[in-house]
Amino acid sequence: MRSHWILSIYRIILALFPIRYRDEYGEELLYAVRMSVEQAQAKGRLFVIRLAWRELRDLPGACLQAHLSERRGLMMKLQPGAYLPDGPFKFWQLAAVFLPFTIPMLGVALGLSAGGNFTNLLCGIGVLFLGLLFIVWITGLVKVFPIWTLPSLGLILFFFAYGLYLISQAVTLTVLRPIWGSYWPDSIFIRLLMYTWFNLVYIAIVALIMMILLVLSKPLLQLARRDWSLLSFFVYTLTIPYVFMNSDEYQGLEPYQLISILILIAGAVFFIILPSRWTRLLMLLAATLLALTTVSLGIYQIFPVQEFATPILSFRVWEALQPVLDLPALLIILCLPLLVNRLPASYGYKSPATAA
Amino acid sequence: MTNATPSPPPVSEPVFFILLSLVSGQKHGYAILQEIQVISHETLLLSTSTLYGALSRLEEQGYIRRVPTGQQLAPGLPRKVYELTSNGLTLLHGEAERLHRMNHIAQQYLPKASA
Repeated sequence: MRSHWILSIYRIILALFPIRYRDEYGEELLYAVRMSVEQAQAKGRLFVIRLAWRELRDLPGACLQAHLSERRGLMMKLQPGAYLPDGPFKFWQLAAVFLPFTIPMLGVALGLSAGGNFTNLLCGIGVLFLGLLFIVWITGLVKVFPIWTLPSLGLILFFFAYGLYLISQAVTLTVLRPIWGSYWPDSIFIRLLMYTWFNLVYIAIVALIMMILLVLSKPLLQLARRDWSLLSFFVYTLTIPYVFMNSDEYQGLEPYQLISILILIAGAVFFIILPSRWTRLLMLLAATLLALTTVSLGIYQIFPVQEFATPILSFRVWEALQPVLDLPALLIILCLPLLVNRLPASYGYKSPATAA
Repeated sequence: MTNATPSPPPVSEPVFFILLSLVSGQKHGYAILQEIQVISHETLLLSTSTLYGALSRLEEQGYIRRVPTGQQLAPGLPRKVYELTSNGLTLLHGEAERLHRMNHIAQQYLPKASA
């Protein structure tokens, strides 16, 4: 059957609508017009003309509106935190999210520009930022883990976890010291085994603290049940200190540390923009991997010009490997929040989806 | 003078009739057009593009929602059937109340103006 001329024109103008709108409503629109045309034809030619005028008159305006709405929707989705619960972020919340990354980045950048001489002004800026971090900590604890405070609160988690980790490490090494006669064993293999053990201990400590937090704080548990990737964001800042640890004695490592922090910031940016939880986690994992690998490469590069450098390649490689050896623990810790969904649904908050 | 509770925003005539057409139950787009013709005594004839533009916005704002019915427009193309949400019903009541109030005010003042 030949299609009516109103439908033909309608179909042509419909092609000017945004693709998503066409996919969503195109067939429905054509169906409704086809039915209206049939109804008007039954009534007479005048009704067909009136219908054509009404339909074709409104189409250009509707087309423009669909494009504007599409654009507005796109802009909304690009807003930081638009896909997170209670998002998108306000400007000051966004600033708070990046505060734990900004402080070490500024520290390194200012240190580089000042050539290691920290003036009163630079110290003042540092104190100001630390004050802001303190305010975010207090707000995060008082308001019980709002999303924008999670990265900063992750640093507190680090202080606790790393403190316990150091105690356990000291105890272990003190106990084992008589066996190999020195603080660290000479054998690389045993050293790697030690690192694996300490990694496991660190993972266990962080997991334990997170479990205690989830048991004690129902708002945090509810947040984790709504979006488990937020817990990964919470522990993401555990990586920041690792960019600076083990490398205090190195001269000239600052540019690599700066790049590492920028990579971590990029990971955080992707986290708050991307819609899928899995891609967000993947970004955090990739950023952590890249950041610590960058520090490792940096140590390898600058090692020969250090005062304590030796021509032994294995020593250089071992020193460069230090940050990378901490990676497995950090990557596993980032994935731990996946276990939140394994918690009994009857405990704490029962999500609507689970309830259904 | 300030109101303690904010009243719902005024709605346009097409939106008012779209919401009203859904009070009697779930409908697809063309059925909504037909219902509007009947309840407005053919004083309001909406174009399909205006209807679907409004449906899209109302759905986004949570005043109506799509319901899965199993009906198909074509094979593999489910028909979009809409129903009123509680927010939509509240909006409709608010608008009816507002129109009633305006009508009452107009009734008070119009005779004086024409006198």
